[in-house]
Amino acid sequence: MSIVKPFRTGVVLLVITAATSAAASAQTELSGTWAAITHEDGLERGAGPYAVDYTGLPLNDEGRARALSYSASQFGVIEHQCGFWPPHYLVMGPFGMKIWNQTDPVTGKTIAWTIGSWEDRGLTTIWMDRRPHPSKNALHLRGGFTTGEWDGNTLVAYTTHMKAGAIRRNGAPSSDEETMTMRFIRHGDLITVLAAVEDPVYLSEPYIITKSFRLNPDAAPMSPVGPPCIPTYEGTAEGSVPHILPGENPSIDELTTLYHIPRKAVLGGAETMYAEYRKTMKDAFVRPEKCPANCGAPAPPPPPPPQGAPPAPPPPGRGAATAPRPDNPQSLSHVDAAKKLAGTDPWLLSPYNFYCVAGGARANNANAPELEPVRLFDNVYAVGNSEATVYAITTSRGVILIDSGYADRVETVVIPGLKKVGLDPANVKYILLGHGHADHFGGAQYFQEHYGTKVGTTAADWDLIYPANPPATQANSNQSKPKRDLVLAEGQPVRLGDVTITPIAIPGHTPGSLAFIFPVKDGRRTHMAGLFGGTILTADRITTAGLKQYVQSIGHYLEDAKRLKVDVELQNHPIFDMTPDRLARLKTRKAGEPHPFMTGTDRYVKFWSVVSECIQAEVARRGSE
Amino acid sequence: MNTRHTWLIALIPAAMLLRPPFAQGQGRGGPPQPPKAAAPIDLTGYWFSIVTEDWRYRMVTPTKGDYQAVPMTADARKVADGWDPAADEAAGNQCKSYGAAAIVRVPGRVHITWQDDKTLRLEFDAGTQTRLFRFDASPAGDASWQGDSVAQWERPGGRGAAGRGGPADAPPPKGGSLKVVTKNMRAGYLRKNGVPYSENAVLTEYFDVAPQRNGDQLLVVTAIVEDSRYLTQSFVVSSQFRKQADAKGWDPTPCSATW
Repeated sequence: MSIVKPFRTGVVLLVITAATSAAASAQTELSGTWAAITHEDGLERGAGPYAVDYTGLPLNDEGRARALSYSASQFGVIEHQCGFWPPHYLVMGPFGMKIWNQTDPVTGKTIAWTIGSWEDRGLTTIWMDRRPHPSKNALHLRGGFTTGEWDGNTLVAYTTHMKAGAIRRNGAPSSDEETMTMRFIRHGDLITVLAAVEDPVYLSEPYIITKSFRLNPDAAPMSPVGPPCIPTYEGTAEGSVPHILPGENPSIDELTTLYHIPRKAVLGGAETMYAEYRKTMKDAFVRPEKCPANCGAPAPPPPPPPQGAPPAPPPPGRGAATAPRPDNPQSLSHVDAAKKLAGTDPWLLSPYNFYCVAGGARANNANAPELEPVRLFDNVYAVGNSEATVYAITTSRGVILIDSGYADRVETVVIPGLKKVGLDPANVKYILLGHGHADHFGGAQYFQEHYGTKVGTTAADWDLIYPANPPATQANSNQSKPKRDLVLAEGQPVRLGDVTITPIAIPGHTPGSLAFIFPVKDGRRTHMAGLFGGTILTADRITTAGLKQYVQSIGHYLEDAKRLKVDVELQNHPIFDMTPDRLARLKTRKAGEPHPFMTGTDRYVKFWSVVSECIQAEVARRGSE
Repeated sequence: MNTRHTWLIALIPAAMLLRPPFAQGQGRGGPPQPPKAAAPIDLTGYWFSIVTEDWRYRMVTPTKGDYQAVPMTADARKVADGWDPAADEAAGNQCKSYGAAAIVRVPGRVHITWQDDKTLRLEFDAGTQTRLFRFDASPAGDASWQGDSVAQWERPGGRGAAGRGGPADAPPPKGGSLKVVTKNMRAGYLRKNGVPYSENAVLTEYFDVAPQRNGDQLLVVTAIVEDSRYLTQSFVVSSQFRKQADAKGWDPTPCSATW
């Protein structure tokens, strides 16, 4: 064989490569932490959409029927807790994204791009090595199966093999036959992700949606796995399957009532995506005089969040924020009662505005600033996050913590915080949990392992932390769980040295939530602090039975608070009690001035009575539903 | 050279012809091609809005005071709280919500053509508005609803691109975007219910074409509005359109402050 032949072959390959390399070589750097920009679909990508709002969704009849049968309480059932959303949640959900590439260790070529999981969105790997998609009969995964290729500077990703889920956070369904094409279009520090979702089962046309993200190189990088999902107990009775029967969805006319949007439009369909549909509504539409609900923050919003999440992430638990229900005489009487209790007292108006005013309530923000460690009283310190706070109570025989904060911040925030205020973490003898959610127990395991700290919560919440039949997503989750040390119960005070802490059972937020009453010292004076450790922040997501139980718990707790003369108010989610303002006043407090956290027993009781009245108003709005 | 190999000489230029046609634009030596000829993407044609986001703010006139998700300053809120569509109509300001910073969000159709080799023309049937994207910066005239827009093609290899290397005169990869910066706008509304932008606002837009698996062509417009008077941070929204083969549905309608 002549040497010309291989030479010729080589040249031909070279030429072909030269001819096609332009398309193959174009790529864009995507790695980094990208913050979600939520200037469009603010409600959908923030607190969650109205329970029945399918506007602009190309649902077919089957999809619509399925959507109307949805109850958000499905996620209160143990089997569904912490279930993940399909990958399209990246564009319709609230969170930012962390992307990184995986390279071949030999060639250095990118073989995959990975979009990290975040809370309830699974990890998505975009394979770039031209591997084929699996057989249609292959296992469907939470993250689906995704391949990608470059189209110029745009990464095009195609996803199949997803699990069934929802296409909107109010239960509008997606099937396991869904496929999705995403295009990642980068311009400077912006990425716009275009998603085209096709679903032969529930959609009559592709659902086209975009979402933009901003790269913030100065922000702390997002965790590649995200925080653990926090299970939410909603009081769902064992054996029941939350659902809504055909023709009985109580929210079907909410958008019509609130915004005068025709019911036909509310129920969606491909035609509602196009300008022609606008014309069909023109003659009949009467614009409401003023915005009835979810009108946007009255104050300027905060700057873009540092960790890729939106300014206000959705509450723990899943699904849509139920639209404000219309008031009735009974609900209005409770709102009036709350208003009277609050009077003109700014501190009492704080829970009123939070719970009684539509749109006022929100969940704690996991990305809120960390708290500046502070000595609140002579024997009480506050550390951790400004919206998930850890309290340290010093005794003659060591330190007791109420809660332990997030697992990923115990070493970076809680321990340094304790040291900063002069406390030795090794001296923490007990951690008492307000309730069994991960933003409260997350750091406890670390204390157990490093300092021999004993951790306590109620039997019910130990069962919540270690469910008998955990959902698959929890069974192998990355949650850092403390081992079961102490079982707390009302009537069994916790004593350490010279301090006695009285636990009070307050079921509602979780079945085993606890309040703690304990003495605090301010100079020569001793007061009694009350820490209500199981606050429901977003009542709209809790079942009516759960809210009724919560109201009973507040009443029960206040009996003890009055008896023990609680006159200091503390919160582990201090977002509705003017804690920032009180901390500022504490900082500049002069000798002889009253302690800003001292409320007096009467005001303390009023404070929780305001909360109770607002919750009862919500119960009354629901009527017999 | 051995004549047996002369076919190779012919093959190489032939292979160059196989490159994507848009790769043969600027930067290849010789005089730069005019923007129309150098276009890395084809934006021309009729495109219609796909309204799957902000539906309540776009498909019906939103209620007064509904400012969800807009990063407004206190001044902006004061202006918006005073929104009076009847007064706008009476004052001849019925097009305030059809200005450059908002028109892409108004449901309807846009017809894109080349007015000349250096100017893209965008006609919107909603509000019967026309935008001109000039690739050669032209002196600003009086402020107008659509302002003055300066356009430039962005090709792979610009900011944010990485990992290419290769010879300096290598052909540009396929694809690209249109970047448009618009200033000199009359003060208008970002949303129909009076959420304002000022005459000093600057609008930056990126136009990207996205071919779909089913053969559809989509157009994605990412818009960034900067306005220190009325916005606490850049306001970023992205809108999508689908291409249609003809003018079907083209329905020029006048501006309306109330609908």
